[in-house]
Amino acid sequence: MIEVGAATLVFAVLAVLVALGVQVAVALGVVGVLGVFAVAGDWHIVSRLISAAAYDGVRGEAFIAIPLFMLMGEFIARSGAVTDVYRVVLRMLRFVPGGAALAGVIGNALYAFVAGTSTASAAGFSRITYPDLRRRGYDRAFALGTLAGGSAIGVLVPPGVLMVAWAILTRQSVGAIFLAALLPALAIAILFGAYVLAVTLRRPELVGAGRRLSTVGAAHVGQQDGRFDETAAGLPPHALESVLGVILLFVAVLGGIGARLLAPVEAASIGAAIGLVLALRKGMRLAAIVEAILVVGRASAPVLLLLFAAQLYLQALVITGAGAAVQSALAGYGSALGLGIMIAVWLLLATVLDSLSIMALTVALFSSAAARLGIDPLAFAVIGILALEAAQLIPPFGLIVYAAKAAVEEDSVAILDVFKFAMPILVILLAGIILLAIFPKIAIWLPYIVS
Amino acid sequence: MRKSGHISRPAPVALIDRLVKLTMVMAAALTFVLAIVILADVVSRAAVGRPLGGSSDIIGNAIVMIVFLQAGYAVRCRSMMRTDCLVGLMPWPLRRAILAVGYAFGALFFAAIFLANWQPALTSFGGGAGLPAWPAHVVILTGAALAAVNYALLAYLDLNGPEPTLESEIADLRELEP
Repeated sequence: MIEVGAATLVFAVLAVLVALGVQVAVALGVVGVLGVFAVAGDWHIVSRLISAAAYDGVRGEAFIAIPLFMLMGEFIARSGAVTDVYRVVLRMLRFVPGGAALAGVIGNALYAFVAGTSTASAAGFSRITYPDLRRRGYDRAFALGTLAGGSAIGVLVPPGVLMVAWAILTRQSVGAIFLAALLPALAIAILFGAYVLAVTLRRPELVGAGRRLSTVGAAHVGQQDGRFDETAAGLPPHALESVLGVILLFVAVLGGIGARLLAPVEAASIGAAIGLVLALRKGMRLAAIVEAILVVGRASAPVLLLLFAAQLYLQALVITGAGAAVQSALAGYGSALGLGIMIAVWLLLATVLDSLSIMALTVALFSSAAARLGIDPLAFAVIGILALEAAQLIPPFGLIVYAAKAAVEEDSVAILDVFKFAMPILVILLAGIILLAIFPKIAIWLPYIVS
Repeated sequence: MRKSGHISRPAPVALIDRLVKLTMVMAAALTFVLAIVILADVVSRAAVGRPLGGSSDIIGNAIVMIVFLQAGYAVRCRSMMRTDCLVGLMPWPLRRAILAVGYAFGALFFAAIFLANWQPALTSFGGGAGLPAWPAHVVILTGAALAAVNYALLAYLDLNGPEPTLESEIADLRELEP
């Protein structure tokens, strides 16, 4: 066993490689191979580990769940079902004060869920929701901040690729992490909804105070304008079918896993099938379906290769003792400070790296450290996913907020104002992290009941 | 849009590009087929009370194949995650050199995977009971080789390319849309 000195070397090499723009998967793989070689000093041992990682390391069903969940999301995203759900909710809430903001939050959250990233939703779906809010006289910064918040919530909702990756990296059950994330995600969504309603009541000027902008104000909101205005044309065709399809999707996937009827990978294939049926019902052609499959092939490749390389890195952490060194160092700080340090590292890394890369680099280390600190691994998984999402909302680098603002091309609104209105969801996420750390039962309860 | 990103490629590069596109399409198709197989397994279990035989072995091998069939393409179109926070600030000749070193590391890493899997692949042809293991092993070798070659190609293109790297990556990506 090599000691702390070598552990430092492993992390120093990794940090230098990543900082210099070497692809994270390559950096993990190189450090993994060199780390094992430094200890074993024998190519045959390294060779055996590599071939085992390539052949046995990626056989787990959780690996295939990643492209399958992506396929589900891609079909739904391309079917237009999310827009339908948003229109239906918008119509249902048309007499509720702040209803359009709530519908926008639901729309952006649902799109983030199917796209798998909050920034994709903030950049993409805000183009549909934001003009609707503006037309109702909503304050620009409030509308953008709220939609960014909605986009952040979507990724917390199970099933998600981040959760599957977490399960792979920490060798936990995918289904258990899904179930652990469900209640916290719902609670966060409800709290955020309550915040929107509270703003509506206390500061009506932010939500247009019921007045509508004249056609002058509506002129710059784009071609979506008025096409499916809930007071005029009613709902787009197949809208209710889309709503039922999306509800069925959640019930089948989460219910199937929760009732222990389906393994996550089976639930993912059913989800993909429901997505495909929805897309076909919405008139998606063969060419578009093939395109969706190819897009998933392209998008899942870097994720799967990253997780494959992470397998080698994880072995190196064990063999070199670097993992144990970090774990005892963190454990020495006690649970509150230890957790604080880990979250601080995530927030820092999030300014330069994407969530999956950060997970591949840190999660296996941190998860065992958290276990030694007495933090439940399932609760820690949810804490980690909340923290990685919160990181993308923190000024001045918060990517989700920038994506929302850039998408709608609003030059008249200052980015700091948008950050101000994204602050409530950030506070809710951070409060969720603290609550989960103190009361892990919020996360553990559901998976515990089920098993 | 396509034309503005067009870069003329020498014949060997064009050949490699076709090859990685082909393997990526195969991986994507295999993913879809796998979704159907898993679904059929669930339906069979629900309808007849028993799953289709041997599907977990098939699924395991298929996942290995999907991961490695995608590798060359993911490398070639530079879609692997990384951060540009430091290299983005560097003047481009330095940036280009540093990125090329990074790609060389990638080539070495996948060359190591290729070498490490050579022996297991040879023994897998011996056969044995159950599902043959050799197709997955052959795909690992092919995928690792394609990834290594593509990393070497990226390093070469970086050092000899006509344009600063980061900007040309977007053009590269467009070129490779299947």
